[in-house]
Amino acid sequence: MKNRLKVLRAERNWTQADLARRLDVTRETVNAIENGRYDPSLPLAFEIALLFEAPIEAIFQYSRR
Amino acid sequence: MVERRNLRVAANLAVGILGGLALCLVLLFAIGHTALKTPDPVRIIGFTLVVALAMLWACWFAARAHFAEDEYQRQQETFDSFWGGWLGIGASAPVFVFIAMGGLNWLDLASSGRGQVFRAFVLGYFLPVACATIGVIVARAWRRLRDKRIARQAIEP
Repeated sequence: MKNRLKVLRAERNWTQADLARRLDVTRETVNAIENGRYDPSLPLAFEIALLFEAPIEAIFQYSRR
Repeated sequence: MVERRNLRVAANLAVGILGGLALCLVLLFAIGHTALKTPDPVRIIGFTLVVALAMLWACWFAARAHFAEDEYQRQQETFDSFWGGWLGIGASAPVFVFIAMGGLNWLDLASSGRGQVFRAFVLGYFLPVACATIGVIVARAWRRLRDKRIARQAIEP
């Protein structure tokens, strides 16, 4: 699954640590999501969508393997 | 800077492991570790209860550490424990057969007499635990390599 987290974060001038604090996760988790090593759970994906005020599908793009 | 969540996890793990070890060591120093010639029920029950208490203590803090982690950390830990544990238990099977077939006597590592029985018991207990621990370390290393490969692929256009 691809995502636009890095772009959205950069638009707001947030560091990974800033975003992690807002989402109540570790910086390591934000890094893993941004780099495609980890697909977040639905609740966390919704939290991300709420934080960036965008629909989930505008942030995460599903692609068949 | 270390994040507060990671500090909480590390603190719980440290208290769990060190506290459990301390409980066992206090008893060991209080009663002594040398086996008596005749079984002493008080000593046997005392040791068993304290080790059970130490395990409860360690498990309680391990659970606290687990639930202090976020979902990604928990997923990593679950992967390492599951695959590492199975890998370790699988790897312990040929070692077990080697010992059961008298491999230690062949290597002259086990002397005859009571010590041999005790050593066999200790080895039998620690073998799967040690192998599972090594397995977890191997699984963690393998997962980290895999994660690096996935991250590299994500960066490539």
